Amino acid sequence: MMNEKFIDNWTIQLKKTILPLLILNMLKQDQLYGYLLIVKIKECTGFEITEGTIYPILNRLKEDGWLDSKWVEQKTGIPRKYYILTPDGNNMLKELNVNWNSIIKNINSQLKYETE
Amino acid sequence: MKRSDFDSIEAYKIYANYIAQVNDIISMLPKDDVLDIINEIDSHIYESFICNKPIISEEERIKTVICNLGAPQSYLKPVIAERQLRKAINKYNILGILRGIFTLLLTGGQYVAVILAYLFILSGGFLVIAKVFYPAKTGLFIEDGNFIGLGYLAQINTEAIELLGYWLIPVLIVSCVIFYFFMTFILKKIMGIKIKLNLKNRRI
Repeated sequence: MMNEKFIDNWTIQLKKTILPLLILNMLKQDQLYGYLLIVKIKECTGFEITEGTIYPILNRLKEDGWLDSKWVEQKTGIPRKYYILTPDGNNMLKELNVNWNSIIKNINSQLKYETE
Repeated sequence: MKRSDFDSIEAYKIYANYIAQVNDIISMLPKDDVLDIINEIDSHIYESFICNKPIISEEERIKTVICNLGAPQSYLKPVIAERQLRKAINKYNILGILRGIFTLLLTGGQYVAVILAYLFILSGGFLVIAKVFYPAKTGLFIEDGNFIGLGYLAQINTEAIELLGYWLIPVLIVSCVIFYFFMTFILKKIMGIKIKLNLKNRRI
């Protein structure tokens, strides 16, 4: 029971930490609006996230200067707010990806060692 | 979304009630920010609503959409507090700073030391007023060359001496103003460091 709780909390924290990285990587490929971004995250990762949690992260990334946004009118009359990776965001993302790959590589080698 | 986007009046009521909650929470923000947030949530609800399976009723669909989005205060309060605090710091607006810090305290439990410093500044203002109404009991007191206290003392020894007299008022006003600008400058730096730390944390 205690283990399940610990694993749940650990998984939630890990997902929270990874979300900005995922968002930036997805926006590197294409400009996306909030809802589509959430759909893509769910499709790619299988994360069951409270959709509202994405918006504070987008807001923070925008305030930090890594993202920009623009409103695009739609035929339906309900405009979409598209998020765009800025040049600064792109540079930071490159560093983040290098660090991420390095961490994963190191952890995986350690996990392999532990299970041998 | 408009009433005409819904066939069911109950579904529209659920939607309108949610938007009204959002409006209440963000009403203290500038109009442009309110419009931006409302439009984004509206857009999210619309996109999610039309993508949900039409085999279930509109009422069920809108409930699912809102449930997935979560309670508005859970995701909007941190955003609001930080926007308020940044604007207040840039304008050196003490009430805005206090309001922003209090909201962040409620949502994140941070900035305790900063809020204590601002309360110290406010207590300086209180002493200025106390000096006007209770001049004998308010001031910088010493006894036999030893410091007794700075402030309002309800009981004072007959041997205690108040050093500053009415000079206390300009001294406090100048000190508080200097301390206020210093603290706000420090807070600006803290916010800057926080952004850098966030970035660093992402790199760890």
